[in-house]
Amino acid sequence: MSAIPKEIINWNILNEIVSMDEDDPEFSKGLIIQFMEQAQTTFDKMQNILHTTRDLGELDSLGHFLKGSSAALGLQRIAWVCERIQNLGRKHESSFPSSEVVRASLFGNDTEPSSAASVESGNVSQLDDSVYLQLIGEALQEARNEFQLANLELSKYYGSPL
Amino acid sequence: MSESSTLKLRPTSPLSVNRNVALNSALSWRIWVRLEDYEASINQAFSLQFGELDTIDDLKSKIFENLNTIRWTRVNDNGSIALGFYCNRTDCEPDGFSLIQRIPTSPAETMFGRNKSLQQPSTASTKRVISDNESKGGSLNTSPGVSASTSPKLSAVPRLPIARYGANMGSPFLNIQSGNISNHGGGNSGGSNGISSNSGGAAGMARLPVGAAPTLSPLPFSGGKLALTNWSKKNLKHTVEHVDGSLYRILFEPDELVITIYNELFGHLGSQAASDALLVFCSDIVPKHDMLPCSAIDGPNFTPNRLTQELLNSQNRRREHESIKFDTRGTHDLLQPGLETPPPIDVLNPEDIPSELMLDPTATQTSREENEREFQLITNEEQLRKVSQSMQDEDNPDSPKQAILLLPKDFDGDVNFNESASKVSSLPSSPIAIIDSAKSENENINNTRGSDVDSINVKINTHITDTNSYNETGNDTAKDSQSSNPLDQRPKTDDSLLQSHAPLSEREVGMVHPLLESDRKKGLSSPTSPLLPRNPPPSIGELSRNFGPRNGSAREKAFPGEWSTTSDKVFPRINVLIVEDNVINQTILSSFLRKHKIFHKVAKNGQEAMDIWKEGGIHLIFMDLQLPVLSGIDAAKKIRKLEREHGIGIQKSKRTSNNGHSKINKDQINAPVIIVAFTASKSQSDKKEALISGCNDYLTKPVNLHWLSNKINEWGCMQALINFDSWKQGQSRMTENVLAKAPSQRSIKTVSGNADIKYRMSRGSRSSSSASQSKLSESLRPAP
Repeated sequence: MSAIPKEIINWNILNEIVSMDEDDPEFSKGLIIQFMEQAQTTFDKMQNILHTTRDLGELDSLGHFLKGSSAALGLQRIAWVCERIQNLGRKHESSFPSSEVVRASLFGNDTEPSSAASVESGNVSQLDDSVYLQLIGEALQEARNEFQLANLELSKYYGSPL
Repeated sequence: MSESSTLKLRPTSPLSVNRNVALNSALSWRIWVRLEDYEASINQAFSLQFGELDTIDDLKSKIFENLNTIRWTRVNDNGSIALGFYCNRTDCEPDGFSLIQRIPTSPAETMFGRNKSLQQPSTASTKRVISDNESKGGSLNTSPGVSASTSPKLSAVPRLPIARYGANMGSPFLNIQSGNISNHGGGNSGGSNGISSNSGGAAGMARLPVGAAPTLSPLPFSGGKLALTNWSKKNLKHTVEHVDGSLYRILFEPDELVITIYNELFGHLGSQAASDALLVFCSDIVPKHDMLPCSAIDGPNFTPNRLTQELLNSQNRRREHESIKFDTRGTHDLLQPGLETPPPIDVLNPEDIPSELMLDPTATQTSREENEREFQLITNEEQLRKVSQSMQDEDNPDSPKQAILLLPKDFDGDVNFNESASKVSSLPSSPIAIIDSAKSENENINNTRGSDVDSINVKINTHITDTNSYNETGNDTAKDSQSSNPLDQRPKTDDSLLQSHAPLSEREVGMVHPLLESDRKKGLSSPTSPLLPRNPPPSIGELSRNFGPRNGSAREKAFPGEWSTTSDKVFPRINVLIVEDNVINQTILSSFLRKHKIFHKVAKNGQEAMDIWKEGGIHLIFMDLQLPVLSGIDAAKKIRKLEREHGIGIQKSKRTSNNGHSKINKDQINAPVIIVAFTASKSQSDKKEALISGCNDYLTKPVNLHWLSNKINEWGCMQALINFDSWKQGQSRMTENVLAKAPSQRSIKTVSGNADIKYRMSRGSRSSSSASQSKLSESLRPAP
């Protein structure tokens, strides 16, 4: 598991997008708003799957999907959580750090993203889907939290609520 | 670096040791040695077992055996290393013989008197030699290993005493610093043969000057205060080499017996401590600029040799030079491993380069303008491995310079690999240097010649416009009427250059804008044009939205530095297909391309990508790998399969035999598409899989847009090659040898390579506003 990025937004990436505003004012803002909608929709879809089909593969691809756009916008913490969801959906990982750890990382505490909700890695193979689903549920909550943080940050940047 | 204690060796010389103590065979015979000057942070002595008859040469072999895992052993051989130690001049001098002279103290000499030595080099000449040595220091050129290999005597490890003494002559050992110095008469040993032809060991023992024994000390190891009073009288075959100042090093001849040395220096077996280790010197085959040749010595009087210094300086100068003239991007890294670093090129003016050495000038022009980078052509797997290895070693994800672009196997661009290779080899510089020089020329005289060439290009394009109608009706008419025109149209400017080479390059073919308007006038862009795709892709609406070029000044502000000034005006005219399921990423990419006026389409999944590609006209596909419906990997595989089936990018013979297929729009697809995979993960396996599936390159998401723009430039140059290729195919289809002769080729190419341009143009003219269009063509019009 890669380390949680400390910064909510990777401005190196987002600035590239923002720089295209010169051609098209509001371009980046429009894109961000589009992303916000996309993220909300995706979160809801995930939630829905967790409650209904409990299809890990579906969650995997949704995680991947949102990871792509959030990373492209430099929203790296959202992307990080999405990657966790993706990997949990693939059963490549079997743990997700507690929200305290996730939160702590935001303030620069170098806590290893270790395993409050983790499972002994020895019996990874025997884990049944419910464990992963539960972890994804926690991750999803984290993703929503991160989403709110990013929203705040971006609203501040654009000077208007997004 | 080992700050060795060579000279600070413990003064515990076993003076009192009875040197004639019988060799104790129960003890294993071990001698401590240590690599001198070896660039390891820890460099400890190690011991080697040796036998009664072992010579220094045998010991060397053992050293190599012992160290067979380290690099040192791969750059050295028996001939290029020597065992010995350092001593001070003062230690050597008391004996009276000039230290400058080397000291062939073979047993024979000692026994028969030195005046019998056949070799009596004049002091003067030797002095000169020595001073040579001084300046050579780390002697980069005289590889003793090489000279050793030419010595027949050395090829076999001399085990018999006689052979050993024979090897005394012309021993490569002595060549380490200078050939002259190394001559010591073979006759010296002649007399000793009789004596030593007993057993080596016996000879060794016999040689021990019994009387002198008590006064001898293991001199070299007494804190640098060598009491070498008797050193020269010792019966050890050795050479003295002047290192620096008062510092000398004693090197033992390869045929000296280890046991003899041991006894002479340390006394009886077992009395040598690890800290008294003999030093293993090696000649500097590998330039070790950052190393002082004798850094093991911490003597205050030691300074680097002149030559080393010079080398260092010249190296620095060269670096500076390159960084000024070439800019440093990757030049060093991309140099072919086998090639020597090109010598500094002082004159970078291309006028000084014979014109035939330049790749065709239009292409050079292209590379000047479109290329701010260096190429290295890699034509086989071995090179690829090396280069990619070297790139991995210094992996820098932000750097666009270290990309490997894979070309199709039969790819044959406007660089003739063989020809250019041979031409280049006749140059003192590498191909990279040529391109570089061209580039710097571009910077220097951009205003003069560059604009001339531009105007030529535009003229040609205007010309194309005039004859496009022919192209519609039939190539034959077109080419007939064309055959002489382009040259006529090519006025005054660099005629010689253009005439002597100049198959038409992408730059010319790709410069489509002047056509836009005239095309429209002629009605070629009407929807009924046979060149228009019959099934406009579903994303056409989006396309039209994307095509309107925005105002250029804003664009230049958008990105700082070089790329807004140089690259955006030369971004290649290519059609890009974005395959991406996430609308956010789609928007980012398409906005980016739009901003740079690169025509593009968007597909949501692999299947759509296939469909759009089949319509033709796509030069470059940005392929996300994880896609719904049909993954990027599978889409890439399918596209490659179809290309194979239709003979695209393969030899034309296969191609013509394939008329049955109608699945893809072959008129529009005349070269393999370049597929660039966008991988979300950094894992090597994904990248590998992408490459295996037929992708030419890959980017890791999120895509760095700056990086992407550099890559697009690169791919634009690819397209130059591809267009040239299609021209060639088109031309060879005509098979008329009459036409195969320059200069008519140019016009033919212009005509036949035009299909997809017109396609693009018509698309472009439909979708972009006429205002921006005229603006564009205005900006492209040659200055009056």
